[in-house]
Amino acid sequence: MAAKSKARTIIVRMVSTAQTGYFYATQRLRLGPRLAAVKYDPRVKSRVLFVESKKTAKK
Amino acid sequence: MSAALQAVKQFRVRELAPVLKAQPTASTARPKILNPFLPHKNPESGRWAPAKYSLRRQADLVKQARASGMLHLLPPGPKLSPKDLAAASASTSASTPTSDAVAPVAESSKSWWLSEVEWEGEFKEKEVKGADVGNRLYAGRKRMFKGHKWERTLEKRTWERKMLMKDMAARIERFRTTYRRKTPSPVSPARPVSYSKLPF
Repeated sequence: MAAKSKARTIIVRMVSTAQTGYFYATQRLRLGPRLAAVKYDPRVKSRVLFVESKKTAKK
Repeated sequence: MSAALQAVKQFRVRELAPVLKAQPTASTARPKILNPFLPHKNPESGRWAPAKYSLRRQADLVKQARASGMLHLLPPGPKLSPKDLAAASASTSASTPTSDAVAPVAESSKSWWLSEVEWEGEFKEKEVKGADVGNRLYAGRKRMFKGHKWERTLEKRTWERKMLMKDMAARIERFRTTYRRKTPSPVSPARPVSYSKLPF
């Protein structure tokens, strides 16, 4: 049997740049740009820039 | 007769009956009875027999005795310190000379359960540090609770967050204006720019 091929998409964590520890979990294409977006952070109660965490893929 | 008084009376009847009924008028001295509130060690086997009344029942009896003013009738125990007992007996002895009906009634057979009894069994009162001062929580301890980790770091974390939020607007603006696909990655080599080749 051939080895299982890697998935097309990967699940990632978008962590708040306000360092509150709040994060969103989303998916993106495995071969795609690093995710970044402006999303709501309830810890600071405002919209904040969220950047994909550099750690290995979160399951 | 109130329920509290009834309960105390029942206790006295239960404890005193075997001793007093056996020798009705034999001894004039106070009869000795094993304290039912304390554990007793059997001298032959060396084993400890638990108290006849559980701590819960002892506490209930003490409450009822306090309510009906019959504290002096109970033996000392973990729920009734000798100090409280002495205070109760002192107050009753102060009140008895004034009332004439009590003395003759106590001697009659009806209230034999009111007679004085000597309770056998040594009671060592547990020492609670700081009870006299009022602070029982930290008396006799080296360190006080220094607070949860999240409490200790809270100030620093909120300050960091505040600093980051100050320039958040600028950061968002920067993010919105850059077209990310066009930003060259620092890893990839520079694309060659040819001025001779035409785009079409």
